[in-house]
Amino acid sequence: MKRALWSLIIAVPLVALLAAGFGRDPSAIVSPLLNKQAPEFTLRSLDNKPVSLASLRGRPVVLNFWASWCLSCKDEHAYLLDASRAYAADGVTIVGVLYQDTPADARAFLNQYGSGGWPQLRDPGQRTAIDYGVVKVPETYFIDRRGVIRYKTVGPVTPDVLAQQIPRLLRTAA
Amino acid sequence: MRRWLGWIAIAWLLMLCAVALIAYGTPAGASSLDDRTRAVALQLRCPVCQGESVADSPADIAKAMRTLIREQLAAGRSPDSIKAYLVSRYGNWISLAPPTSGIGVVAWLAPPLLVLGGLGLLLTLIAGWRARGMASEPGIRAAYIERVRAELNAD
Repeated sequence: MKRALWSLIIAVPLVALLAAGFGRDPSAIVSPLLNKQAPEFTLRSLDNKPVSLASLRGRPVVLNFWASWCLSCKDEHAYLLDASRAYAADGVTIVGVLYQDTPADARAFLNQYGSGGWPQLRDPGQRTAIDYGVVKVPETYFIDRRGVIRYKTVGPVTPDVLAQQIPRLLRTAA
Repeated sequence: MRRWLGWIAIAWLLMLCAVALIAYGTPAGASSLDDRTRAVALQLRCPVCQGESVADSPADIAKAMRTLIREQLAAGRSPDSIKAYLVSRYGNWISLAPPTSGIGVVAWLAPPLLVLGGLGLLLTLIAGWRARGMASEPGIRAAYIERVRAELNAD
């Protein structure tokens, strides 16, 4: 009787701990940058123009880390093109950051699938990607008019996420 | 005599542990920039790998992180501040060692507590065995001698 009680006292918390641990997706990381000021950057675009996040203050920014070699970035690109057309009048800016890609490959991708006209930035040494805690592309950060990260997706953005998050950014005051 | 041997064995083991700790426990004066970079990278989890450190992974992001660590060290930043920077971007998850505050404390405390608990259990068990052995020995011996005597007499 006593032995059974002790077994329960030891086994129940252990099973609970293991259940909690294994029930969690270890690759799902909550970004510590959520609701914090987005890290600043000044990078050169594919057309060699400097673009800084600070210069976009006052406008909602959809910051998209991607690469031409990334398969799911192709699907995502179509949705981003749609969003850029739909929200251009509201002042929403999409900014692409290349992740471990060559300018030539990125240009070929954009020629093939459509550039949308938003800046595509080169990120030598992935410094900006590391600054944002990017794990793997595509990752997309939704930054409000004040430069605060409001939302982050890992993996391709869906039309649903864009339709939810961009209006949310537009609602926040400058 | 035998008791002394036991103590000598324990002392010898402890000394071996101490020597091993000194030899392998602390990175012996990581001097070159490569060594110091590796020492920091070993404490960080490669974001795209399974259970590999930034130091050991061939992944591009791990390479980029090693370059960053190297440059920061060369610029005079401390290993702790570089780790803190990466934790602030990726979360505690990037650090291979659990955090020393909050729930992470459990991971630090559990192993020594379990070892102490095991030692306590062993000591109580040994004490129990010895007590039982001492208590029952004279009785068994008496009965045994009685039986031997009886069988000898029977002849």
